[in-house]
Amino acid sequence: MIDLDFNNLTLGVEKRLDEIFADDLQVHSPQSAKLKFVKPPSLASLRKIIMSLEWEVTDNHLNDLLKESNRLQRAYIKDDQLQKLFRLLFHLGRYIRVYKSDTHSYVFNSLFRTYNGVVKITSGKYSNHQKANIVNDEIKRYLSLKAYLKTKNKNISRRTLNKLNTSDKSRLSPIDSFGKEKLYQSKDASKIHYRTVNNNFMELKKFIYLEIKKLRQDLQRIVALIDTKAQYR
Amino acid sequence: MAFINIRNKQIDLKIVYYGPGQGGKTTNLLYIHKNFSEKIKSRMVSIDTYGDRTIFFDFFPFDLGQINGFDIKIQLYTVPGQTEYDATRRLVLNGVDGIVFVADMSASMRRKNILSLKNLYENLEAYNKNIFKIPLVFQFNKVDLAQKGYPILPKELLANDLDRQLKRPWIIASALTGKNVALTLKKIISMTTANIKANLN
Repeated sequence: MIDLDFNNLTLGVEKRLDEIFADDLQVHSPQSAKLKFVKPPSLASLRKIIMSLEWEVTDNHLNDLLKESNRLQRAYIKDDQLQKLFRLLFHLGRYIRVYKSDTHSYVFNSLFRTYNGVVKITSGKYSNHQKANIVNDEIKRYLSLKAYLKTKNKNISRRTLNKLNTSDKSRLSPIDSFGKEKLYQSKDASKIHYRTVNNNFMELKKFIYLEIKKLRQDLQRIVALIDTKAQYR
Repeated sequence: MAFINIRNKQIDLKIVYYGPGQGGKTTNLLYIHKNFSEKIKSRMVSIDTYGDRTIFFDFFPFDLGQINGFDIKIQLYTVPGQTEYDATRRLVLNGVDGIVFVADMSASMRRKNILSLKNLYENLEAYNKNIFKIPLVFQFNKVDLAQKGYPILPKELLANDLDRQLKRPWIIASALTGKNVALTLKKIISMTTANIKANLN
């Protein structure tokens, strides 16, 4: 068993780095870094937003929800369970903002239930095991809701997408596929894909071609040099 | 996974600077080399450069010295950012412990930043590594361009493009002037060291 005291090691490393980079860190006082180490904020503003949404669903409230859930994800970066719930809140909020009046009532139920999950976890009444169960239940419910909506939304998706403004469209485009790809690819992550091998082969081919081209040019230069030398002689 | 030699009491960490071509990865290392090489007693090795472009990779090992009885050695690598050198990038990522993603703040580089991050994701997948689990810091480089009158991407937009799902720390920097270069390195080394503990657990 490794008998490393990692807490002290991490602190030791940070102290040594401070010593090495002391001058530089003082010169460039980092604003962004200060933002990173803020204390986890309370959930009061999230509570306000959820209560507002229970009363009336408006674009402003939904935008606030997205911002707040995003901010809380950063703030609770070390709490894996809360992060998952905030991520769920973010996705549900985004779904409602995109589909507006076409949103299924189940999505609202899911949103409020997820918030209740957050309240339960932060209440301090539950053990870690119970907390994990709460989060797992929410994720399972979310996934089944997602599957259900997939079949329901086929009819309305085209109509809704036409309604979207440009900023909403950009939110749905390429960057969103990033997470999805992970889900699809993770099944056979152990294999190197055929496409990757093919790309490598093409890359190698291109590299060899460029190298030969360079060699040819060098040879031509050398031949030209020899010719000029021979002329002077 | 970091290399830990209990008998020799040595820990090796490999940190890779990743990002789009001409984004400032080598400039980061050059700044550290120029300003701190005496303190950390090291020298930088650039393997195959063509003009101002890295063709193979840059390698910059340095020693943090004895901490808690352990000798901590850090190896900094850069990769060639140009799309055609994907095989080299994948090779350099082998055994990586932490990544600094150097994004270019130039207005024209938005798409290339996103593509480079996707490329990082794919290349890590080839080694069965999950981008969501590996220590990663975003550095939004070339902020000094704004002072020179060139258009740059807003930090919020970059954070939204690159960091929306990953939720990692991002630092605005200028590798040319040295702004926050050391801070980025400090951050990634701290995160990587903390990650060793998590991995062993």
